[in-house]
Amino acid sequence: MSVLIFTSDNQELEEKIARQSAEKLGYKTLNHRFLDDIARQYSLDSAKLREAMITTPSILKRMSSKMWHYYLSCVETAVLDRLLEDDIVCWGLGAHLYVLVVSHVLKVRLVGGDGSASMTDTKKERQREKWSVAAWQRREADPRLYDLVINLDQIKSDEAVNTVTSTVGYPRFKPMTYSRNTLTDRALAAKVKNALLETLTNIHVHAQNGTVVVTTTSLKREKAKKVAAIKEIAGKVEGMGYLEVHWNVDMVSEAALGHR
Amino acid sequence: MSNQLEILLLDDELIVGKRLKPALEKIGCCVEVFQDPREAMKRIGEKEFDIVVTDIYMEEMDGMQVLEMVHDQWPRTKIIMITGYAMISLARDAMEQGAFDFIAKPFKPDDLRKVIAKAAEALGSPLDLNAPVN
Repeated sequence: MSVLIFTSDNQELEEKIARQSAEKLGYKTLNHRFLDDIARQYSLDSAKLREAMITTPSILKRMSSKMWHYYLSCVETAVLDRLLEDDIVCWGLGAHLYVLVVSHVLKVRLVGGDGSASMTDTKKERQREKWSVAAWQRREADPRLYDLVINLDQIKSDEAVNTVTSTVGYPRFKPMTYSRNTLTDRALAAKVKNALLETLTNIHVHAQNGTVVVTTTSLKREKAKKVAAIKEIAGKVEGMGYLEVHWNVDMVSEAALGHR
Repeated sequence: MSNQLEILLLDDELIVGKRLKPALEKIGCCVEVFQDPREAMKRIGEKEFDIVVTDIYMEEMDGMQVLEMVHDQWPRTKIIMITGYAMISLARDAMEQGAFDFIAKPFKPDDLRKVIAKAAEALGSPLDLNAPVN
């Protein structure tokens, strides 16, 4: 069966509609409470992990860019691992931003539901947009990221539940070999990225049919050391097929070094 | 219809049929391979296959047209789409039009064998992938 992901700026309504949909479909639920399990699994500070899910790196909040990317990568890895199981309704974990290309995942955006937006809401929306662009290079409010956008100022929540639960039953949202393989590849790429981000930075990972391509940048003099480290760490990840490392020179650091 | 699973395989690349035919015969399927979609459609007009495996992008005819025509003529036939240009919208459209499964190329013969086994099960004639074939 399929996977259903909800997202909304109104967390109360998001949770209510997601839970009712899961109950109606007989699906399991996966939500922000899972963050505590993730914190335990990866030995992370739970409060900092919750902070990383809503804000961008900041020296003031003692959240470095390296730490922030690693924390988000832990969430992505753990969530994708769970989504492989199917029959899940998920919300509050930003999952819609990293399963965009998986066809058996129905992505639903809920808007409105609390009257006209206040100044606080606008500020929250701006913060959310900043977060999603920094983390996943996507504007969370962009309707093109979703299969369904429901305006809760115009549609009642029980009608929204009916719409979503009937839509997820369309054949186009059925899992198929292609979509399962895509999700498996995403999960593998996330696992490799997570292992690498524990110690390294500037890491991009892509997987296709079990073949993993890691792209990285560094100073020329660090190339051999960094490529060897990537091969050693990634090679130990379970499920790894063939590994390829693409290296590019870090022009900015190289130029800065040249001016010293 | 015999107990042997009857499969029509359509792909305009010669190598695909050459590789997949023996892989499917190995699990006891009877396979007819076509490169020309018009000839394949002519054959489909004459015979009800259990499974049709078709490429999507071909010069003479689109695999989605093949899907529609097979579906109209033989509703029981399971259609498996294969393509080197897989993307989410195409995959979803194929499923909506009644494809049994959708596989992105490149894939291993064993991947297709597993999908064929799933289709055989849905048809009520389960295949044993490990059974030796005479």
